Amino acid sequence: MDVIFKNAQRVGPKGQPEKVHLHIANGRVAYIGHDMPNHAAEMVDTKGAFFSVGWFDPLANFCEPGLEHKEDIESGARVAIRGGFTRVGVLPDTDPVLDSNPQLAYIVERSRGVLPHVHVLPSFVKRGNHGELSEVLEMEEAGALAFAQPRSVMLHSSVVLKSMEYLRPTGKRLVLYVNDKKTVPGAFVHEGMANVQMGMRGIPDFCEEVLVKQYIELLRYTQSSCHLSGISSRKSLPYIEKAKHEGLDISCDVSVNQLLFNEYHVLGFDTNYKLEPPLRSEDDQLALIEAVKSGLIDVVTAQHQPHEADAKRTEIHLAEFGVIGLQTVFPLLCQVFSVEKAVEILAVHNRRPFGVAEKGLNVGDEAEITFYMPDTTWVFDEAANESKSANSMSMGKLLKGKAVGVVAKGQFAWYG
Amino acid sequence: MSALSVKHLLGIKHLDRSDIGLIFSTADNFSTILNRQIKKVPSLRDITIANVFFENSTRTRISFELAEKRLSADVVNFSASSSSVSKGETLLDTVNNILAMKVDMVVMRHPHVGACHFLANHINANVINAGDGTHEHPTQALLDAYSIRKRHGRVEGLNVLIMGDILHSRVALSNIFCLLKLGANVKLCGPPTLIPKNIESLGVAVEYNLDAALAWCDVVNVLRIQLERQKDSYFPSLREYARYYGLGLERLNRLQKEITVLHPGPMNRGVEIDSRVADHPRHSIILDQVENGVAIRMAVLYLLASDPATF
Repeated sequence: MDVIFKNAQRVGPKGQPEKVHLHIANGRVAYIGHDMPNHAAEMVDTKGAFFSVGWFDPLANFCEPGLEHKEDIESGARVAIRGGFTRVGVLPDTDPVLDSNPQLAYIVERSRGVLPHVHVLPSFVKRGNHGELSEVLEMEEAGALAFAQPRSVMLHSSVVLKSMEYLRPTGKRLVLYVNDKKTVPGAFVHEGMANVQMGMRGIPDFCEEVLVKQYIELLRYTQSSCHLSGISSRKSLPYIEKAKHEGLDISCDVSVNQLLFNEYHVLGFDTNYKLEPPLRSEDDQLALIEAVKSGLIDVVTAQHQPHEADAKRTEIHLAEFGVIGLQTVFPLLCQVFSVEKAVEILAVHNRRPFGVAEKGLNVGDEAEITFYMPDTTWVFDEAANESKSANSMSMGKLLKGKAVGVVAKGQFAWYG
Repeated sequence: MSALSVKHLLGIKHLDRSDIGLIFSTADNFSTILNRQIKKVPSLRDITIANVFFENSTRTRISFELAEKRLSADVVNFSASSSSVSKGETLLDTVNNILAMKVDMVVMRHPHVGACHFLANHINANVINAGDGTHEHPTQALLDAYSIRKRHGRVEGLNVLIMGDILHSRVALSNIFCLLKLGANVKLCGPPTLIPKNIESLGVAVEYNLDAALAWCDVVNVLRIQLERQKDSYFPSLREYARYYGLGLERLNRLQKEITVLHPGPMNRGVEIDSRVADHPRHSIILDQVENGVAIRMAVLYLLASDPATF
């Protein structure tokens, strides 16, 4: 690769835009500055596009193996790269559940030829939900980024305790979901005001609070590392704040959907708003936004969960949870935060809990860059969608802000 | 005004007060016709209506069918037990197949909340919700309010108590929306395990003492206890339920006033309602409800079918 990206803009130390040229040679950053480099094989005029260190979503579903009709590694990679991501972590919600080293090796092998960089988060429990630990040390050695709870598995606290203790020497994070499915069986919306109008039983927010408290106690006892995924309630935040204050190695995330929508969006029975955890109250939504701003919530994910049309085009009770999102997360974040904040989340904050270095923009680094246009408007439609699935509430909507190019793994992925 | 503001009857929530008024005045006309010797009118000739019932129903299905036949519509009946649903066909496929036979309206009962909304979003025919899970049962609420109006001459300003299993009741939710839109005061009574949290946000009050609630009300709508709920331990026994939340004649007699008793049926006599109350010549209007149900359903079918925006 030998490319000059001319007329690009970066955000300077005082927040002011600064026009520069970038030269990427042999997969590494050769030059960034005001002078035009002498020559290169290829020249791309970015016409003022901004750029940052490449973006990262640590918790996405690429559905391979077993659920390739929803997404596979190639299609998932295309989605990610069009969304501006240079790195993605994939979850073990495959069929069978990704819980062993040969399966990890399969994903590594399958993703070798694709951009972006695919990290793997295998399950720390064996499939079948019997509470047996999977061979995490072997998978850690083979490069697992962290270890995650499969969504289909409900964990007993003894299993979480065992897993935290066993994993402690590795320093790898245990990704745990804090949505409780046991207290109100069958419920899938928030218990608030909207569910009353729909005649549906809801999941009270204390259910999440109880799990957050329990996991923090286990973390305090084991002094291990964990990541609480899918925070949806204001009530959870003070516990996380206290735990961080104490110095416990805890991080957490929220899905971009929780920042944009609330319980009232489910009123029309649109299955795209059937999410796990459920969309909660407006008050929760506002508290989550503030917690992201303050840094209390470390990570914002797209919570990319592809599903075939039939899994969503059905009665809401029968519909699957979740939506796709890697391609739209940047414009959606820009609806909630400033462009600078949105980029900071995707480029910097999302990397930190998982120990992924913020590299790719210094001279000598393997190039890992995302180009974006904050003011470009575009319609996320069938033609734009790279996923095998189309389950998104943003489908057909006009969005502002777009990723326009990516250099990942030192390779020029696309610009346009 | 001569047309409804909606294309489908999915729930009372989507109607406004003038819609309900229009349905009532249309039902008044049909009510007169139903008491004539020749009860049939040609209003829906050439209109085909499918009654699609994915859940058991006796009176709602018969009431709709009678209403449709009185309006001279062509009627097809489809019930889940005799359908291909048991073979794994989806709701949308089932209904699309029926529509391919050129059906104009679908009356549907379904065990899942929001199923009628789903259907209305995916097919061209008018959809009438005949009960969707624990969500709404709009024609039941309309006929309940209509029956109250017939008995009292008004609904506005009346104190209406809805008692029993509110949590699992689509009748309760539709009644709440309907009565509030018509200006009634609504109170709920039942064991706390069967009253949804935050229900007060809809504008109703909750009272756990049945005697106090009865002393307050002019009208009481008694909801059926679904006997299968008892094994989920929402209350300890039918015996205890009947004692604390059952409408017995002694309770009514203690009030020293006459209140109107409704029940959407089917009744568990001796559990939520005493037979002597259900059959009481002055208190009970339970059979009037059934009679009014046909007129109300005729009105709904007629108004939806004759909406110029629809055909």
